[in-house]
Amino acid sequence: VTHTARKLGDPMTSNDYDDASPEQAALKPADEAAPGRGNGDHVQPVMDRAVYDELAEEIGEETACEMLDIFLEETVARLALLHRLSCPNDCVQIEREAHSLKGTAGTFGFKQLSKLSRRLEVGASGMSDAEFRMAFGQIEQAFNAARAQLPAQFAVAK
Amino acid sequence: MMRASYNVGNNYMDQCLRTSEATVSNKSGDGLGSLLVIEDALVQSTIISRLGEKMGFSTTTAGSYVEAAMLLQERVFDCITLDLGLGNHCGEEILHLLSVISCKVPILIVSGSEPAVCDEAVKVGKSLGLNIYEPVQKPIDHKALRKTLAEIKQSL
Repeated sequence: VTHTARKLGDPMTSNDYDDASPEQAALKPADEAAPGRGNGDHVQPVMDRAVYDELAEEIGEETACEMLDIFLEETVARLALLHRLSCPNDCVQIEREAHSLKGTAGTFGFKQLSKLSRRLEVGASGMSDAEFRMAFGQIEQAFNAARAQLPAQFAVAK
Repeated sequence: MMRASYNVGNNYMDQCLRTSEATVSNKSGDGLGSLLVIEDALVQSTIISRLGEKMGFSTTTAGSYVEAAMLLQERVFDCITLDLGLGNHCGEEILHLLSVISCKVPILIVSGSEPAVCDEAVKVGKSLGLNIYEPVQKPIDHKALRKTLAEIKQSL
């Protein structure tokens, strides 16, 4: 994993938000427990390492690392954007952002993040703003969990 | 091979002129089939391009509808991969554009949309007389994409 990925792999702290761009600063960690926990949904693994390894085999380790860096950076910006949106007014844009996040998260094996993004993509048009905020909070937590797991994932690799 | 040629409005050309060249990457190789990757997500376009290069294609990436339209007007490609979601535009708009320019080269939809949506796009493409292949779902099924690209490469 590249230097950037390692750095981005560290969970964000309050200081990180203070240092972030205005868009990133709008993205604050969710305070409450993950909504939906214990609701009977099957919980996907945070990261399926085999998916990433297959990708690295296909496109090369270096390119895969670069793409992971880009994904992490783009997702921070995407979540900051989603944070500013609301349902039902912005549901088309919310669906679009959730669609992109779903696909790219799945590409790297971030299954839980991909699943939650799909749920938002499919459901945004019928959500109240409160429901959207709940779904967004889950996505945000899944992303932070995925990012926090990266150092451990790559520490045991090779 | 066909040559793209169609009329475009002034507003469209203005948009084209404003389009950043930086997002258009071209790795050309003599004697290779040329692949246009129409995809607005850098991660996905990079993966498709790498797999295309592995299968012997030279690849060009268009990150938006406008870039794709501009490239299709300027150049001839042997194969096209198409994402169905392109910001404010949808992939079906590209299909209509390809129909307008009488494109006959293989077109492969690579999309994270629901299978029913992909199938509908394939139907639209076929109804427009395009040479459209069975879609590849995202997260990208590497084996399926390589297999299809290999078939296309062999058919060139």
